[in-house]
Amino acid sequence: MNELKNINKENAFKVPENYFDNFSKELETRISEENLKKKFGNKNPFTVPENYFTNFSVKKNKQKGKIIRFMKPWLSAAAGIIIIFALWQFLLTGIENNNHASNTDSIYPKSSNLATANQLNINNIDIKYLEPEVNAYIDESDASEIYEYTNDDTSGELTNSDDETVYDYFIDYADDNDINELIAEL
Amino acid sequence: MNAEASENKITNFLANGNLSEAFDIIVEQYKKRLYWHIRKIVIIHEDADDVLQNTFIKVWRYLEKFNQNSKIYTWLFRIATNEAITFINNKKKKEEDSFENYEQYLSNTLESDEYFEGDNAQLILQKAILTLPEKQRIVFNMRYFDEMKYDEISEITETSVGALKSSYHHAVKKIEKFVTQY
Repeated sequence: MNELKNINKENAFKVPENYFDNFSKELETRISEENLKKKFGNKNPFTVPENYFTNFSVKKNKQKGKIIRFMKPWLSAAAGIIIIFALWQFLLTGIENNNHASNTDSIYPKSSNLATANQLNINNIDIKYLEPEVNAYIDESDASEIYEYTNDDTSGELTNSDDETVYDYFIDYADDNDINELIAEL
Repeated sequence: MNAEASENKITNFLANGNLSEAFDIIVEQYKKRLYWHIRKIVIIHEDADDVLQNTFIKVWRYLEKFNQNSKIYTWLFRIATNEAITFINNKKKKEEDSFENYEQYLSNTLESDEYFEGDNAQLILQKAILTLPEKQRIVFNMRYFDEMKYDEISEITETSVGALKSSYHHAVKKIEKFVTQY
């Protein structure tokens, strides 16, 4: 019994911070919730088409289609600018260049007649030149539709958590057919 | 396969770099839970289907980088929640000329929705829920319908338990006030 007298009687148990301050409010919530459940239940009122889950499958190519559809207006505009610039360049220097060895740095078709949009193909256009236009034409709220792209404070470019730009993503997911399809829309 | 067994199987596949096998199990195991979580947010079945696709595509894209610091289902639910919110925000932005209030539009379409089989009381409750701000609506659904613990909701929404309790309290009060009209 003497040993018991020596033991500190102070309550050794603790409660989370503000527990008692919040208790009344939480009790009130709980009672309101119970009343709602009594009156309205908490059963799921929604249904799905027959066999929806059985037939469900992930369309892994869906996102590729989405980004192309999403970016078409801007890339059409960007590609349009490049074509106009190419035509301008060709008109200014085309005759002269035809008499010289082809400029290996040129990104534009080498034919003397600038091909129509439908005849252009990816091998003759350096798609890298679309990058500034892609980034310039898509603002942050639009890019967030793709993959959480936000403004990188240091570079000013739109990047995601993997440091990819919107253009990088486009290049990863767009194939030659997609790009040809875009250019053919001009 | 029970939840723990499938979580272990997924973890093993990921550890061995078998992403495709891991992904297949994830889809099979979680498609329903994720669908219903999404559906309660976006309401319309076709929209929920879209968001569910988007969610799994994102899961597929980032599966290799999943660091297993959180549970798989927490990670999945977080992606699904964010995709649903993004979907709604984009829809509001695209349709801003068509209707003033997107939630009001959803509320009005519920009655004629072929994939809504609730009785009148459930309809009133859903209309009440649609008056809540998005994130509060999500918290309410997870607590009221799914009966999830605050800790789980906190991990998914990356919101403190205290903030969630406060949010839920306000949500319940608003709904109580709304339904007294009926």
